[in-house]
Amino acid sequence: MSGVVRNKYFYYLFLLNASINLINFVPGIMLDDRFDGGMMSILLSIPIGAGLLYLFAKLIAKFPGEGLPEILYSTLPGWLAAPMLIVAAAVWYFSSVITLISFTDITDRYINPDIATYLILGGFIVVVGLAARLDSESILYALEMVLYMAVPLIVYMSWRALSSPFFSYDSVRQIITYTWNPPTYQTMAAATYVFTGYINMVVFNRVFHKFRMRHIILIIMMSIATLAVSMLGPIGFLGTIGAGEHEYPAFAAMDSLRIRYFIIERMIYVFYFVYMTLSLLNSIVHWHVSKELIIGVFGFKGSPSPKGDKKRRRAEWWIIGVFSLIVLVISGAINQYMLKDMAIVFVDSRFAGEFVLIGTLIYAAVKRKRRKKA
Amino acid sequence: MKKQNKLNPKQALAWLHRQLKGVSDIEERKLKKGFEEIDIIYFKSMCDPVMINNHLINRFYELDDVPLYLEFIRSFPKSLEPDREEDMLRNMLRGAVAIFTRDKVLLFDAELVNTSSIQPASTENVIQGPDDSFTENVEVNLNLIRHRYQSAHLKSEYMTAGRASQTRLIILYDDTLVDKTILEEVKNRLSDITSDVIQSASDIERSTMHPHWRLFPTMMFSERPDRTVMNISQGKIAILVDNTGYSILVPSIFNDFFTAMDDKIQLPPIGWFLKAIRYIALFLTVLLPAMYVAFTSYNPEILRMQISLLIAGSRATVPYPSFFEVIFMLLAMEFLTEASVRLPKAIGPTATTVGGLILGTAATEAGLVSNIMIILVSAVAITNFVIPFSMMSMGIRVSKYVFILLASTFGLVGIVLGMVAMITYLTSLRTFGKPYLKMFAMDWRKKGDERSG
Repeated sequence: MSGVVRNKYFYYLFLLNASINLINFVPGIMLDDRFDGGMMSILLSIPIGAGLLYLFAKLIAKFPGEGLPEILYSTLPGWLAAPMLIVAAAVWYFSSVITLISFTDITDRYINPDIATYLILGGFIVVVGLAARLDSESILYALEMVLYMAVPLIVYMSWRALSSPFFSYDSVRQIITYTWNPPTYQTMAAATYVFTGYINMVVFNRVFHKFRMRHIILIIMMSIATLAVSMLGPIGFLGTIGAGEHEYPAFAAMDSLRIRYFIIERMIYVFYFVYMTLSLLNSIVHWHVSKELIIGVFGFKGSPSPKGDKKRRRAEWWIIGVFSLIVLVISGAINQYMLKDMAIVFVDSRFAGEFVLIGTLIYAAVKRKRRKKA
Repeated sequence: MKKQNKLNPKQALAWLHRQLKGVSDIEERKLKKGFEEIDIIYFKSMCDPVMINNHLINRFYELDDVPLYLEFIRSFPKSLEPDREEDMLRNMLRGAVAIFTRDKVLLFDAELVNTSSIQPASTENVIQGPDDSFTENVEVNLNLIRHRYQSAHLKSEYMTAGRASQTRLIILYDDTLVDKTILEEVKNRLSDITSDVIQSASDIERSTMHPHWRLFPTMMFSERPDRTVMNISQGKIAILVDNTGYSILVPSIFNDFFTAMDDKIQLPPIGWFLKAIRYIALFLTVLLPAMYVAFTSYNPEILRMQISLLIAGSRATVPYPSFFEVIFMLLAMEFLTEASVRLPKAIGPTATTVGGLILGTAATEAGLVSNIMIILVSAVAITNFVIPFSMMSMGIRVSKYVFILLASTFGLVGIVLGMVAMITYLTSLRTFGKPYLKMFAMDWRKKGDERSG
């Protein structure tokens, strides 16, 4: 009995990605270019990102109940489809590696300096790995629950940040004067990341049977707000120069806020709580998508059912095991600078990959249509 | 009428004698009147002797001949002619009298039912509202429900489960509201039950739900006819189990276990308030002990300075780490709860007094636990009792230890990990194909909704 979900879950996937945008590698990359085209790339990213999202939503609606593996294998030759799926899975998986490792680092710095990094990462991996094995529908329900807990807190924290007397609007105004500098590819790629939540639909589309895209204006407004807060928030607190000198600008900015009338005094703990749940959920979603793409290469069809067959189960365990091992190895092997380089590579390749994905989908849709006519 | 299917009385009688060798509560009588004679056999323990005297023995001598007598017996609604010997024996075990004439076998229902009368509900109390609860007799329970739901759409289907116990089940649903796929699933699972004895509603749950190893109930047991009727009117299926005094309501989702009948009886805003209280209680009872461990041992800087100092001061004499203190006190609380449930009513108050004294003052004065710990333990206990269904509150009672374990290995991180794991675990559960935990659980009841893709 694999279920079918409503259209709102598409927006949740978008919202998850957009909200995670506030703390992951994106603000860091954009703040590096805050004087050279950071603002311009935000402005440009909105039509480009929203256009890609809209196009993708239109295209995927032509394949109700199908994931990317089914679509590719039915329209492309196998030798082309398999490497495409594996590359897509790898790229998507690596974004979760970056998220997990940087969040372990954040935990180590801000919350739990006493606990070994490996133990924390191990805890993350256990939860993410076990949850990524679930069926797509369950993951969407969990995502919904978590977002309903997290989003009100995010709104509260953003409001507190922007209304804080220590928020320097002068710095923000100064950065805005740099708007007319030409953007770089890298910053553009980072800024469009906010829209990228739709890519999860390559697998989650299996549980959408009558998907229709509506209210794109809501998505655009959401993205503008997210991008503005993620770039200008740290600048307002840390200053035009200072904002570039932090590894995790959002955390540094939030650490300067105080809650006066509650038993918790520092805003950073609320912030940490919210973003840890969201990061975990994001990693769960990414692992799930990559796992399904890879499993598609091995010829298991359809979305996993709560019962599922045994062979598929075993293949899933193997994939999750390899995923976990890679995270552990990478976390031991790399340092902060390499992590940032990795993030940049990911962001760049992802931006190009989006165009390839949409091109492939257009080809698949045309081919499917022709086949129907013939 | 298919005559050839009916039993041969002589063979059947012989077969029956073989089967009933060594059963001493069997009663066999030969009734003779002139040339006509019949045998009646029944279980003394299962049949009503007054009924047998009046309807079977007296009538035999009053009526003119055997054919008329048989007509008379057939006129009773529950009498029947068995097709197979096994059927005959099964009905006899249920309280039927077997009547053997020269060429026919008839069964006459003379079941003797010993059940308690209708009692007020004891585990699901309400402040204002109806008080009746189910009895242990399934027919009486059906009567209680039909009284409250007088519609021909209320369908009832009979089944039996358990090879030896042959427990009667009645599946009840409103056929205009019920989801047909769920109904099929319920029937399939009930007919798949392989255990020998079904004695309680939870036996049914254990042998029908997947996965077997769960922490939270996915079937609701209710002893209240009004709740059963409310659920039927929401399109759910009720299963009445004989000899249990409970109805099983499926599919039951997480939210249902936080609904008390009071919510419907009171005015709507008060109902919402009560429900909100229960969810707050859920969070507190699961998270408070874990937070105490995390905040005292790992992250004291999270709390406001004054609170951290207060806790530290209160813990000054305590000679062991906080997780030990929490486990120690919570276990003492669990012992007290368990003891007061099982104790005879006469000793009950003693246990609570002794326990309260030890847990309350002596432990803090001895410096074994902090004052704040006492407040916390009582808050945890009270909030746990707020949850209206005992099956659910048991699951939650256990899950708080998981959180304590996580908090003592990871600190605050562990609590967040636990919460994410708990949410994904709950959303991954299904009850008869319906998601167990979901935001806005109500929307699956709407049918033909266009946007539900």
